[in-house]
Order: sequence, then structure tokens, then C-alpha cells
Amino acid sequence: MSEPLLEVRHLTVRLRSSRGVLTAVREVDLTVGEGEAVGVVGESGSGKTTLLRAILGLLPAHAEIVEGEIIFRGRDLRRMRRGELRKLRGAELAMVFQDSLTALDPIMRVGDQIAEAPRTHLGQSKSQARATALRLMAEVGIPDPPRRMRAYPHELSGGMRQRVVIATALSCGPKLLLCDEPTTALDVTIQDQILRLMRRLTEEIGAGMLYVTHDLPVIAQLCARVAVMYAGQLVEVGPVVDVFSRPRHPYTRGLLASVPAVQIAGLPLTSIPGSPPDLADLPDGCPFQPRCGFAQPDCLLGTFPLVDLSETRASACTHHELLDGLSDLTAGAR
Amino acid sequence: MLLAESVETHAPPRKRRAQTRRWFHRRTLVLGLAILGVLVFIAAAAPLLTPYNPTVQELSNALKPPSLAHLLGTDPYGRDVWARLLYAGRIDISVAVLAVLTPFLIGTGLGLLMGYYGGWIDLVVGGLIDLVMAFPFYVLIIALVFVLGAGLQGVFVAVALIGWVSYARIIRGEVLSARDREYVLAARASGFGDARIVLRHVLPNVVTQAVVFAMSDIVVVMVGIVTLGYLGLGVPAPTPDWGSMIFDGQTYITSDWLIATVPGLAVVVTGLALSLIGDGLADVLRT
Repeated sequence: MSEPLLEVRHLTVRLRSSRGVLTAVREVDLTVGEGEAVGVVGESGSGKTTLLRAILGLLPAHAEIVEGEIIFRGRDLRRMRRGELRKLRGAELAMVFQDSLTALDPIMRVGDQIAEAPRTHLGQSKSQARATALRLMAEVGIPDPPRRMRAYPHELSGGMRQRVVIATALSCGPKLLLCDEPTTALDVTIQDQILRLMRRLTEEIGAGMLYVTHDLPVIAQLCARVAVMYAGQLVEVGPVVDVFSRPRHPYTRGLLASVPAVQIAGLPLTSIPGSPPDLADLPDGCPFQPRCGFAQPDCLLGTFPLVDLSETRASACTHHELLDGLSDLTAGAR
Repeated sequence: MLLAESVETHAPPRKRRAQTRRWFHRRTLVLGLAILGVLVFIAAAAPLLTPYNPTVQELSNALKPPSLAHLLGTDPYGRDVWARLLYAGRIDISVAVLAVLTPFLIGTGLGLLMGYYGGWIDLVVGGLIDLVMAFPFYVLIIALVFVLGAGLQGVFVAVALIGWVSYARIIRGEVLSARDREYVLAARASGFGDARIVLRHVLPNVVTQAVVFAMSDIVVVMVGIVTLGYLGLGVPAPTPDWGSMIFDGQTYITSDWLIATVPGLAVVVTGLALSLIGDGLADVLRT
């Protein structure tokens, strides 16, 4: 395989909080190939959003990358000068936000918001950028673009607004799209339309996608590979089909067993017992160990980095063989 | 059924009409604008509304009671009180508006920088703000006018030096809460420069509070200018000003009470109009 589009190596992000320094992202290794869609799944607070913001270089003031490299098209984003990185943002690296109501400037017409990036990055004139905005609005399926481009965000429905957000992200033909749960706030039918749209448009422009969500069916629909994140660490990586059919980490297994659409027919739904650990007070050994139905005595000791299982798969669980041959996803749940 | 239909089909015009209605249903705003409109019109049309020159003295005609020739009588120097009232209004209202504009711009600019960047600029300017806030408004403004020299220029500079503080504080606070909104993050994620983000995305979203405050600030500044005029520190002598008119007329308050009372009333009415506008604007813009 040629050089990946994005390669995150050993990325560690610390946050200063009122309760001390937390590691929100711990030694994450992740690659996204050209035109590849990679999903990152995890519960709230697992560090997904922090990971995306770290890649963009837009961490909040109290957060800091303490280690690692973020190689985008052969260059380390962390070593770039501010101005250089800024020119990449919006142009080659674009982000799609979760909440379209807050992600759009409430008092700027949506057409102007879509046209803003092409004017800044591509040096388009006012009328060119207007034409770009009209074209993009039509592409993302907004009816009657000439009229809608004069609307303010609050005048549009949630689905239309999210289309506007996607249009702004795509406005300069990015190479990599970073998506932070862009469909979570939408109802299911709209969600499905938006996902299809994103898939089609990223395929058309050949953009890679890093899609962060807690929603497994969305990953199954959109991505080729998936990384599962727990307490700031990746616990399992692999092709979506393999991971979802034969999870190699008890946490992944627990997640799958709690989703109606993925869960095997006829078996009761189960939720993972307990709740995600407090990042300020992580358990000893494997962070998932207190909630794990397969935990062994040695799970309390040492660290649990991702270990390659094959060319394509990796798991942080040292006892993943315990999951072999279990078709019943509820087995092992307490 | 009928109702539902009309809501569905007429949504956009209805919304616009509702918005206009929102503006005009604030009685305070409408009343304030009406009074101010009349005042501004009278002041602006002064040369058409009186044949007299407000500064030319005619001592033989001093202290005349109201008559058809002199609607409000004449002052101790034989000048027409009505004419002086109108020309004073021109000066006081326009000076107050202009004197608020400068601190508004300075304060908004500094407030944006403080709120968006924080750090040393926030510390330094914040310290200055605390320093200015520590003194009562009138003490500071009178002291400054003494130092800078009486007259319009001194008043302008003094008001600008003190007035920016409130705007900077208001804007800083607003920017602090706007800075972490997702649309600002989105603008940064789109690779826009700080100047563009601050001027096109942050400023338009935070400026409302400062505009509302400016309305009430104009009242304070106008009363301040009148006070300085009364103390002989404001608009220089022959030029009419409500403050100096009150001062000149107060000696005759028992006999020719109109000379001092009328400019006093003018201050009250103008202040009332501006306050009503400020309240009305606040109601409309904050909801």
C-alpha cells in the first residue's frame, strides 16, 4: 500500500482539569488511506472528539499533545507553522460538526457561510464563490438553492442545516473529512439520507474520511475499517465486517450486543455493566477490566497496548481467544 | 384546519410581519423614537424655526416676558430664549452622540482583543479598566476636563478616555462566552484568520449588548456635558448650551423662571427619550 493519507502515531493528549491532569487520548495509532472511510467508535468521554480536534490542531486551551506524530500527506502537522496549518484547514482537512445549529454562525446567511472558505482558500471572487455555494447546495440536496442561500440557519430544518454544514466542509474539495457525529442529532430517515450523501460525495471527490461516533450501525453503513476507543485508548482495530462479526475485544463485543440492529436475532439485548472509567482515576491494568465478563487475574497488571493479530486486525485484549467460537454475544455478560 | 393551513402557506411573510410587529409593539421604543425625532427635527431646523441669532446680544431687550416676538422671552443679555434653546439642542445632542461614538469604538475594539486573545492584553487592559472604574464618573471627568482644558475638545477627549471602559467590559464578557461556541471553532476549522473570525463571526454576534448600553450611555454623557456647561467647563461662553443656559438663568429663577426652567426641561425630555429608546431596543434585541 502506498503512503497513507493520514497517519497518527502514538498520539497522547493530556487535559488539565480541576481534578488534575487527565490523559484523554493515550498512544493512539491510526491510519486513513486515500479515499478510505475509517470509523472510530466509543462512548461519550472516550476521547473521540479530542482525537479529532488534536488532528486539526484545535485543542481547547487546557489540552495539550504531549507525544506523537500526525502525518498528513507526508508532513507532520505538529511541526507545521501556524499559518501553514491554517491554510490546510478548511482546504485539505475539513471538519463536519455534530450540532448544525451551533456549528453555523446564527446571524450569517447560509450561502455566505458556504462561500466563505472558497473565497479564503481558493481565492474565488464574490460571484465565483456564490456560484460555488449554489452548486454545493444543489449537490447536497438542498431544494431551491437561490432562495435557501439567503436563509439564516434557524430558518432551516435540522436536516437542511446539516446539509449546509456538509457543504461548507466540502466547499474546497478536501482530501480528508473529519466527522464528529454529524448525524447524531437527526432523526433516523434524515440520518440515512445524510449518510448516503456523505458517502457519495466523498467517493466523488476521492476524500478520505475519519468518522467518529457512538453509533455502530452508522459505521457499518459508511466505513471500511473501524477503531474502537475506550477510555482514551484504541482497544480494537480492523475491517468493519470482521470486527463486527468476530470481535476480538470484550468491549467491542459488549458494544455489539447492545445494539438492536447488529445484535443476533433472537437473543436478548444486553448492556455493558457499569459505566466508563473516570479518566482521573483509571483502574489498574486493562481499563475495561472492571466491567469485563472475561477478566482474568492478570488483567489487573501491566499495560494493554494494541497488538497485531493479523495484517489487518489488532486488539488490546490479551485473552481475546476466550471470545473464540462464541456466537452468543450475551455470553460472559454479568 | 383553516388556521393550520394559513400557518403552513404563509410562513415566511408571517414571520417578517411578526418581526416588524415586534419592533413597533414596544411602546417604549416607539414613544422614545417619536420624542427624539421631534427634538432632533426641531434642533436641525433651528434656523427655520426662529429668526434670531442665539449669540447676538441686545441689552435694551433684556429679560422680556414671553410674547409673540419672543416665544419664551429673552435672557439677561436680550437674547431670544427659544432661539438659544434650539441652537443649544443642536450642540448638546450632536456632541453627546459623537462623544459616545469614540469610546464605543475604542471599547469594543479592546473588548474584542481582551476576550478573544486573553493573556497579557486582558491583564493590562483589565487593570486599566479597574483603575478607571475605581473613581466616580463625575469626579474623573471634571478632573480630566480641568487638565485637558475646558471646551468641546476637552469634553470629547475626557468622555472618550473614561467611557470606553464600560464597552470594553461588556464586549469582553460577551466574547468570552462566544469564543467557545461551536461556530467559532468551525470558523477556525475552516482555516480562517483571526481577524476574519473576530470581525465577521464574533463581533456581529456580541455587539448587541454594547449598542443597547450606548443608548443609555448617551443620556449619561449628555447630562455630563450639560453639567460641565453649567460648571463653565463645557461649551465656551457665547455658544448656547443647556447647561450654561441654566447657569445664566438661575439668578432670575424667582422673577423670570422660564430662562432656567426651559433648558432644564429640555435635558429631562431628551434624556427620557433616549432612555425609552434604550429600554425598547434592549427588549427587542435581547429576545
